[in-house]
Amino acid sequence: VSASQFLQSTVDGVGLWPVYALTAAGFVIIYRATLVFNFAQGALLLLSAYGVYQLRVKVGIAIGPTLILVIVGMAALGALTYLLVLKPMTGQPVFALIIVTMGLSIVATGIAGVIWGFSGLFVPSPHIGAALHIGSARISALNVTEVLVSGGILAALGAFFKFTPIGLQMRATAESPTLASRRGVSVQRVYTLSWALAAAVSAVAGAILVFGSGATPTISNVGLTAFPAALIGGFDSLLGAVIGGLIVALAQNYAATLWSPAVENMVVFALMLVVLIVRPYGLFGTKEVLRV
Amino acid sequence: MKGLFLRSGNLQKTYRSDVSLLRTPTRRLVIAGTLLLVIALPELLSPTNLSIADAAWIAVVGAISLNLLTGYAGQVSLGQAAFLAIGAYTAVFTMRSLGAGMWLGIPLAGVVSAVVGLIVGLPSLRFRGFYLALTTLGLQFIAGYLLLQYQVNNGGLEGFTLPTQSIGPLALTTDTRWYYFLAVIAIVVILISVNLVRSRTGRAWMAIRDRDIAASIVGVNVARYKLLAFVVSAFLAGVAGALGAYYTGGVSIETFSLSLAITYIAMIIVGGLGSTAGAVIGAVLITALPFWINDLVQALPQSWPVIQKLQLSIFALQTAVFGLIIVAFLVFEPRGIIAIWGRFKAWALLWPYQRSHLAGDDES
Repeated sequence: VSASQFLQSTVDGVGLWPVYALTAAGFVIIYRATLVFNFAQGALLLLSAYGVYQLRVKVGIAIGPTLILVIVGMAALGALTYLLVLKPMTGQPVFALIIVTMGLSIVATGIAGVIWGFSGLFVPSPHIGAALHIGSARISALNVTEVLVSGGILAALGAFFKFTPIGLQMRATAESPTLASRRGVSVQRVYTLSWALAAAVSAVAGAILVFGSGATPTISNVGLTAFPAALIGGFDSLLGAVIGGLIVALAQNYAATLWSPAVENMVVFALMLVVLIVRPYGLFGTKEVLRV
Repeated sequence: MKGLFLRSGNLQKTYRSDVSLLRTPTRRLVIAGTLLLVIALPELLSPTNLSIADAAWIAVVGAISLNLLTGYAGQVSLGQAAFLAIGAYTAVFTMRSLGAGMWLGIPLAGVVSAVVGLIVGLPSLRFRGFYLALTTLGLQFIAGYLLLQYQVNNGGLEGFTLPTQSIGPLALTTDTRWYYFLAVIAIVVILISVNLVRSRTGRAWMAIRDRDIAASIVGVNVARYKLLAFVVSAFLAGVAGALGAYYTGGVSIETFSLSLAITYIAMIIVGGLGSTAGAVIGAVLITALPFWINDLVQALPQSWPVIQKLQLSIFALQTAVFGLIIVAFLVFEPRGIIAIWGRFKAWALLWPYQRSHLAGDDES
């Protein structure tokens, strides 16, 4: 493998980073608030991708309003998911909560299949400018924009948690729901908001995916590979999602270039297993894992 | 007839007779009736339904395997499809490299899968709940990759075909013959499960599931019984995988996806976690469900455009309904059909004296 190939796969990895970081951030937001591991994250990506297709291609509205509508719509869907499904299940074992999110993901995939079919649907990507060159590697202007926008969104999220009153309430609830509710925080509202926020962040990732590959059912697989990203970074850390996303994106690209494209998912999960054994709470997570 | 419908009036003088499988006359009657029905079923079913019944027997073995691990020992697993795949590929390996049929292939599939189960069980000594689910998810991806490599190097992308198997001079060429063969194996597996559960092993598993630290204090060797649960479950899953491979006559890696693992989890949740009868019921229902949905939708009038659309995208509809059933059971009745049945029994036993708050909970 030559140096230029290596450079190109590094750049490609960075180009892939927004999707993983945003999806992993979606996992983290929900987990931190409600201690639920949302396996329906991939389905959220899928629905946002088809939402963009529906509004942009079928209805034919401009790209800005499309994105806003999809993000708002997904946020509402996330809140509804919590209120209708997860809230009634409060108190059930973690296993049941994992499986119910998987069930939700199956429902969403099925409904998307009924409405949009299983073949890929093309969505024109916005044209922003010519490709940029970094040494011998090239990256599209759209991809650079995605990296910058996602970085901005993640930074804004971090600031939101850190500096706003509602962010403080969310952090307090994550630390101790009982104590937070004693101080007048509406825990249910925080949980609902967390689901809405996570779904909105995933909507951005879904939109990025749809501009890259069109709307296809396989988009939901990204949710599965973003899972290790959240885990490697630490499941309750937003910074962990950012770094974990980068590690997974780079590892996938290096594995595909240096070894073979068939191994890219296996490498990610092998990496996750190593982290799980050595440092189960991830690189930036809080050190509390149920040990037996 | 005394005591036929009541649970009292059956005095048991020893522990052995109290845990006996044929304890009450009612139970003897139900078991005899079920066995008769199982024997007569191929005569009653249409050819399509008979092939569904065959698939259901295989699913029963797989669901019982997962139920022992998750329902009784409380160890979460998303790796069931990987164990099934290992069983199926061991059957392929037995045919290609050892030149033997299913009489070697099925036990060997169980053994190979059990060895993998032992290795996968090791993390369960350190993690539980969600983190354990993730390590078994890791197995799904790693086994999927390795078996794909084996398939690409030895059989090509379409996968492998397996020849017709035979019992002595009787070739397993019809669904009826398969039905009886699979029924015998499934009933043996049901008996294994029922007996394990009412023995020391089963009690140890349930103790670990309900409160692992307390279990270790009363003298249960937690590590040993956890690993045993993984080994037994993986053995049965390997057997189910090999049976499926011989029955369909073809093996290809894409059938062993994560959604297959979720299908098996759905079976034990719908039936009722921690109940062998529940696993059997769940396996049958979830296996038959896509066919029922298909029949139902095809029977609807075609005049409405909505129904035409549903008929065209039947696979997606099956997926959506399947997911809805998982969600509905987890939200409304996480203990499955068995719990609904238990409530019904409590209601019926008290009739006509039941009051709503008395009949409200189960008595299982």
